[in-house]
Amino acid sequence: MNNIPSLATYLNSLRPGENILLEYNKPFLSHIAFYIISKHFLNKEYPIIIDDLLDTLYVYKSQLEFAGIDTKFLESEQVFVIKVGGRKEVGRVVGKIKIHPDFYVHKENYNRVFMRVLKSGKYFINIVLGFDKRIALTQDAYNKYSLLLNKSRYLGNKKRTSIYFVNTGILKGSPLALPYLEEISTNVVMIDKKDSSVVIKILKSPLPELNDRVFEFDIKNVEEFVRRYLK
Amino acid sequence: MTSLFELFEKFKPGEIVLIFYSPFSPHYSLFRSLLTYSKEKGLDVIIDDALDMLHVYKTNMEYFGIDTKDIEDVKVIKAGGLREVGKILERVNVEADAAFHLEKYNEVFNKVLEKFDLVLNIALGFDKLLAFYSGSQQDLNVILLALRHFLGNKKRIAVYFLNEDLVTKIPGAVEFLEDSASTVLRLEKNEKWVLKVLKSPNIELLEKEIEIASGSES
Repeated sequence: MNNIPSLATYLNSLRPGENILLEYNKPFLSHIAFYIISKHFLNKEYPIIIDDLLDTLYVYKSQLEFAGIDTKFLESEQVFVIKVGGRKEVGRVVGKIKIHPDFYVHKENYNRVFMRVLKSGKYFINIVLGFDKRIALTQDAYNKYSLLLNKSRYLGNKKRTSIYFVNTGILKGSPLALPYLEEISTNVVMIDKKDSSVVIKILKSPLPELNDRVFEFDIKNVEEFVRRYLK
Repeated sequence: MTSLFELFEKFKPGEIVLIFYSPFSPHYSLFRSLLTYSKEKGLDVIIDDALDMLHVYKTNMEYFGIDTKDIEDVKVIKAGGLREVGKILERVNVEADAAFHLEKYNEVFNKVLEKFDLVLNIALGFDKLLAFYSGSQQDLNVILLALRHFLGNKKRIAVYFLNEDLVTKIPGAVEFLEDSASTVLRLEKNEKWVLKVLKSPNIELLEKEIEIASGSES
């Protein structure tokens, strides 16, 4: 019944350079997933870069606080927030980029900040929040697909492993985005809900034994799991 | 039961072969098999690498435990993108105007082909080009129509790898491409992953299924 330890094993199996796509369509648990993943890697003393697109981190932080979960970890010296668009600064912000209407200018602006953080020589976990909204809100098709098709740029860069949180509902209006992201990512994981259970499906993994694995546990156990990561 | 190599053996110069796959299918194994087959046959390979897809293939293959050591030697025509993989013979930008892009690509492609009698031309990222141009029906039509201009060019056997989940989201694109191609193959999952022949000049191959080893098993 208790699949939770295997989930931690799964997170430990991720290798430097990989891209993980974390899909959900009911946003009821994405902030919890964000919390668990952040704490998991911070506890292992891996620094985290959070790409905060369009104030999504503010939304996550608020939801965590409503759930009574301490969000002090966002101020930790091991957390580096790169703010892309939006106004609400949350966590330790190390760089701010305004969204430029021309994708190529934006790309260079982002790259400059990202490489500056990476240069410290450490291995980072890069959590990307709000990319789904960024795609959905980019009207011009040329910019939208330039932005999307640039996503393989850091794939295989062993200084980081990135985890993209995407709400598949938000991407419905840009139907080409999800199949592309699913293709380039080395791991695709879906979080869903079935009655009072949380269902986590590994849709794609380089480890044959994990492919198509389903972890299912009662929502009540999530609290237990979160408690384990409280320290 | 036909084997993969027996199927490849039947590809004729001038053919356009489409391979439809999903983001979760073992298309990297199939790509690997094509490279190995060409090496054994002494057939020159030229990869069309649109929008960094060879980088995506190679990197994914590394994580999935599929041999990539000869990929750095493979000849490449690069269209757009930043990540260089293989021996890049020529490079074209992906222009905002599809007709202009195509004109430049054709120029470069013909120049490269002059040096060869016959090549296996593996196109990666053609589907991403379709996505890139999908904002304009006119540009999209230009790219879709381009495929049939290549049909019958006896200096090449062309194999297009296409993410089916992506192409099906572009209205009419799958039908248009299938209509232009001479052979259409699809990776499908039954009990195991198989490559199914949906269209072929060899009637006896139609509906045939060839088992594909997935990921690190191969």
